Amino acid sequence: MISLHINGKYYTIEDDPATPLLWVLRDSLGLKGTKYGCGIGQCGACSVMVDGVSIRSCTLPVETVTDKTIVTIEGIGTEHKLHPVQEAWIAEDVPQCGYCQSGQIISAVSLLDQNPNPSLQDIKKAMDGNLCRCGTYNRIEKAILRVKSI
Amino acid sequence: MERRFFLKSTSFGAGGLLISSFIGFMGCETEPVEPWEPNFFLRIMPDGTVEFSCPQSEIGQGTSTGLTQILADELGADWDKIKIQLADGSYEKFPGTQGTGGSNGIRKLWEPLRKAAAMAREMLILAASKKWDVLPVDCYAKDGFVHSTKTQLKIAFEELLSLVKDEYPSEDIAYKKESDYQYIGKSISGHKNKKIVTGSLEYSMDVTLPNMVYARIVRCPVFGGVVKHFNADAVEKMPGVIKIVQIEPIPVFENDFVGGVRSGIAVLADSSWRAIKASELLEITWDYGANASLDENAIFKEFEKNEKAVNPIDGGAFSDFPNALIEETISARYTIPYQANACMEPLNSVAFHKGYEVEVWAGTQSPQMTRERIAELTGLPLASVIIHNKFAGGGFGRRFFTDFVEEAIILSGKVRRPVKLIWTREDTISASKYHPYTVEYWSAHLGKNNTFLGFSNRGYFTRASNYPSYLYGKPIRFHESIQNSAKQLLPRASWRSVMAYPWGFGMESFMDEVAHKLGKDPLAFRLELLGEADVSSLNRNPESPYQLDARRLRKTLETASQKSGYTKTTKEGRAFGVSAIMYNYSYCAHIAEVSVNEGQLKVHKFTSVVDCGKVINPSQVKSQIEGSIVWGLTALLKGCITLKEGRVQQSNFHDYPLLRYSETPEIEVHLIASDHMPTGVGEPGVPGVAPAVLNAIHNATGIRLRDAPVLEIPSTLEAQG
Repeated sequence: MISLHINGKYYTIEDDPATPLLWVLRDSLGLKGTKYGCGIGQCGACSVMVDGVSIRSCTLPVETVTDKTIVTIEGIGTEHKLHPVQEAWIAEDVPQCGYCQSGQIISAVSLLDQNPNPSLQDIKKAMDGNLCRCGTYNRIEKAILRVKSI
Repeated sequence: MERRFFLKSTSFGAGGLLISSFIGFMGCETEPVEPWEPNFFLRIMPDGTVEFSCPQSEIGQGTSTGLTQILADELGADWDKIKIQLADGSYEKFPGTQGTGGSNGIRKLWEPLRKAAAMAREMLILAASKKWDVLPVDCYAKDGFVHSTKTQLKIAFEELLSLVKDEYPSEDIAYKKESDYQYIGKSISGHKNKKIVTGSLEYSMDVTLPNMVYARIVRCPVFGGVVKHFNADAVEKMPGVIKIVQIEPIPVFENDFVGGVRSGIAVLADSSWRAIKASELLEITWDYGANASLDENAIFKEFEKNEKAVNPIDGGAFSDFPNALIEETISARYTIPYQANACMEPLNSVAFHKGYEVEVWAGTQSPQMTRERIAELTGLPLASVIIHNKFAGGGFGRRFFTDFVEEAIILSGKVRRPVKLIWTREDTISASKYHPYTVEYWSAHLGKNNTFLGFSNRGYFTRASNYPSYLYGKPIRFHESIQNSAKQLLPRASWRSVMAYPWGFGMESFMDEVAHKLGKDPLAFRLELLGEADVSSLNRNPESPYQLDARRLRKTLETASQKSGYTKTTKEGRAFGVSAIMYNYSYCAHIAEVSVNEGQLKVHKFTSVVDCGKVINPSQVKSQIEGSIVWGLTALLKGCITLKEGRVQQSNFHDYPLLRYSETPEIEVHLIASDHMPTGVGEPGVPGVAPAVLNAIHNATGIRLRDAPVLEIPSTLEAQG
């Protein structure tokens, strides 16, 4: 039995300890906002925050995060109480298909938590690991700049 | 702008009135209030919610938001009270308007959806006017209420539900005036954005059903190959593994790559991860079949051989020119590799084959066709096949095809439990359906004194009959499409802009080559040819509100020139490149700005101008063009699918890379204000991206590149070939 601390709650699971956190979140805990995109840490759709840092959950064995604080997209904000980054995403009409956006927002929140006033270069560096097939990159940049200017 | 029509007409097209739902229900006061469904598009609930049943799929192209704006305005609804659901696959309810492809959603539904909403609005107004004893003409609908202009009274739609059932729609109805629009033309943020940013939008990948099992299939890596034998002893003993199933192949048809299933072995387990992990341990021996010795080079040789047999066919649009006039011909050949769609949400579906009925949850672009295929596959009547369409994490044409649903049905049929079939990323890159490898041959014929007579084109597809997108005012000779075996080597998928991609790639590159040959500025040359174009013969139906017009393409190009500060020569280290494309009645011009330093290409900026008729949602239109540019740059500069011994060599994003944020240029999109009928924007931006960049590279370096992908810029002119 493994216990996890996710979005301020404690969970116990019975998955194989080597199971990637992504699949524990999705299949065992029903936290499906975190997405499967590539399984090899290349696309960022599965990003979650582990102790405040954006990390790829698809290659992260669940046994390695038992003593960590995990935040998934469900822990960032809700439809009724949006995080400023989520509000900016809506204001800039960022999403197209939306599948990568959980991961994009996790990376953006992680960046802004650590560096509330990022330069364009900081933004490029922090966000370059998150792929978007629809091509929403320039709007993501605008949304992050919008949060920064608040 | 008011259009009048008779309701007695029996042909309502998509979303015809459900007359039975309001006949014979004589409004007994004590009867509980029931939802009112005046047609297949919408239902008004007792709590005031307006449910919109959206026939088009939502794969990120934004159509469901645009259609909701149209519905909201014509009905007079309150935006916040509209609930949008994707309609189940139903030809009966939505004939001809449910397939999502060809950037046709807004174009196909603009008229029937407005008609359906306007009819419902008029019936609500009739009910209110009777209640108040005022004339209907003194009432209007807005914000979910019917208002009276004479009495200042207003009543909510939901309070009219028991009354409106007694109403028949009036015989002629006026559409709302444009000046009364509250939503059409506004940049309303996508309706599903709030759910997306909180991670709560449900894709088919997120569907969970009681007693559901998870499946992954290992498919034959060579298309056409089959399982010879396999050993699953170790896999069967793994924890969570429920069943191993051999998938018998279902062939695809020569001209229909819609369905078909590859030979393979499926592992069904109690979680996604266990199914994936267990499948990797299968020991399978394959009979690879005839394709195991082939690669794209074999196809290229075949193209080259067959290209020599030149059979002109009817040019369709333009009068030809006699061979005797031709003094010189210049020619060029363009090649495009196989491409994968690589939607961010890997292909997947959830299916439950109950024996007597089948239910499917899938993000599909073809809910009706999927239903038909599944009925055929299972032998069940159409009525017993239910396709729930889900929001999809990208489609780009790939989700038009039904293979990933067929597989789940086969598996569910074996276990009689709901099955969630997951394609891994590797499956979507290595064992999928692909945009085909294509070769395009272009020639320009010159007469005496370098006069330009016209073009010849020969390529993978036959244009003249099915693709009238050539708007330039010079004759063009089409030739029969080149026969080749590429179709058998890998199955074909639609891929954002489909045939227009190789066509636009060649045409818009070659336009520049001809301009340079004639000593003309490439942009001015295009303006000249578009200026003298009479394309009326391309418009086969003079009654249609959609008519091709070369002047509209010309205007986008002129505007792009002005907005970008285009010059023929390099400015501040940047060279400009131009393209102009019409795709399904939308017009798009691109101007790319690039620099090349020591073989390193940088795409700095795109200035793009679109004329898609009346703009429903400017933000979403611009989004689609921005996305099209990223799509086009990925295709040109990043990914490509290659074959060796019949096997796809790429497997995931490390070797099939997509354009990243740091590589994305500044993008400026301008929209042409227009009163023309609204048309689509998902694809028209794609075909011109690569040629604009290639033309800019030529202007920067003098090097003409004709083969995608362009992974490096050669340092010498030898590349010109």
